[in-house]
Amino acid sequence: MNRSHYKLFHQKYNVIVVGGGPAGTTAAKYAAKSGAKVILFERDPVIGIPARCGEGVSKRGIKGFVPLKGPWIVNRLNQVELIAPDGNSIKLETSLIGYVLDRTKFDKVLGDYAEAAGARIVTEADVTNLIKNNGRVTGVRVNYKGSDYEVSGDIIIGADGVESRVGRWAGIKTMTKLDNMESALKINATNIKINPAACLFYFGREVAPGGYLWVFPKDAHHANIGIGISGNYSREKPAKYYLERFMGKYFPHVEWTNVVAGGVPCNPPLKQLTMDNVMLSGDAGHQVNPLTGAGIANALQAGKFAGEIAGEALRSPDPIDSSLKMYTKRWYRARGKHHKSNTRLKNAVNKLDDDKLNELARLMNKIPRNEWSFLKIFLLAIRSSPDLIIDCMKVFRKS
Amino acid sequence: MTKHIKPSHLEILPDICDLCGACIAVCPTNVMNIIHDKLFIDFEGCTYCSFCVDICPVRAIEECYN
Repeated sequence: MNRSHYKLFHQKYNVIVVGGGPAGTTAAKYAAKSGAKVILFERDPVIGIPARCGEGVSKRGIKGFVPLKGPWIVNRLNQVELIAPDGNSIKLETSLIGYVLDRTKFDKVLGDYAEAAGARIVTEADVTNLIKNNGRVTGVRVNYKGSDYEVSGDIIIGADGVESRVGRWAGIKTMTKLDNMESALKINATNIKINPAACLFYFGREVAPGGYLWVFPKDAHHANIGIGISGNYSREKPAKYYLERFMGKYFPHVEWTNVVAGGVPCNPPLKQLTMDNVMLSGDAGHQVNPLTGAGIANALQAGKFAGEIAGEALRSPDPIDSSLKMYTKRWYRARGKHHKSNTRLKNAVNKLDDDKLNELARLMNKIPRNEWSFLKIFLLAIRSSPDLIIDCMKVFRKS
Repeated sequence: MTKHIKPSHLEILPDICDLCGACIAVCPTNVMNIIHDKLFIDFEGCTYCSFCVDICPVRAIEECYN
């Protein structure tokens, strides 16, 4: 055994973070900032690779976490085009819709912030299980460059992505039902000709059943193109089939590289984000917008809460486990209502077949843009297509 | 929808698998794991529900019938 490894792994940490994505690095940063001794384990050799992500994000989602200027932002979008199954589209333009990120650089800078705050980051370190003593988690078992080590810690933060192995080992029910899971695939298109200011979203059962297909341009010739389809539909044909068909139809001569698969948990919020001294953050805690499948903003917020609360728990005279329960409460207070209403909205939208989506796009385009309001669209829809409203009502009805 | 006939075996295609973990997340019996950058199924607890086959974006798990 290497002497420096021995030293690194054979000391006790206050907080062990599993996973070096946005949730993990942010949790590590805020825990370290509060004075905790923090170590983060990342399975892959480099933080930020591979990026299982569409890389689109709103300004509000990242503000306060990274500067809004820097190499992690590759493009600014101010137009959005929602494309109905029949090809009719709704176009919107504002001063800023959002950013396209370079997740490799974005994740790296978040890792740098965590290290600057005092957290130790170890890559190529695969956490293979939790260590339990009398039913209580006392640390993690980690495989680092082929050797196994046991590292002990007071608090474990599982930010290990959709598979949420830490959550499962700890006994938190993190299983995602097949119909709540989006089966996703992303490619980098390299010689495309595209409006660099507009993100495109394609809807419909033919294009992306139970989900949508998106195009996020990085510049006039490069774009991230990806798809998410509901697990309900992916038995018939996988996401790969739909994406290849789309590319063949819309961008037949475009070259693409870097195919990345992914699963997006579009669940109702988890009832309990902690178990004793274990906390879950990001995709692992199902902290994803269930309507859009967007995870970055939620992961940052969740990581911040988790890190802060871990720090508070360590300082508090109360038992750690009871202090950590505050995490679920704080998360629900900040995002719970939004998460629940978006879950209902997702379920309603998924019920709309292609004819209804076409109808909705047609109706919305009848209203001048400067008069767009939810009420106006609502009233118009009632007049023309009463059954659309029944679906909309379901969204706002308490479940 | 046709009724799912349980396969006799599930085979992981490591060259196609991207280790994204979607299958692990939907596994109701928690028998899937990634060990040393490879996906495994512990067949002792597997119920052959095929959710992992269904969710895989790239079809890296195959159902085998004898």
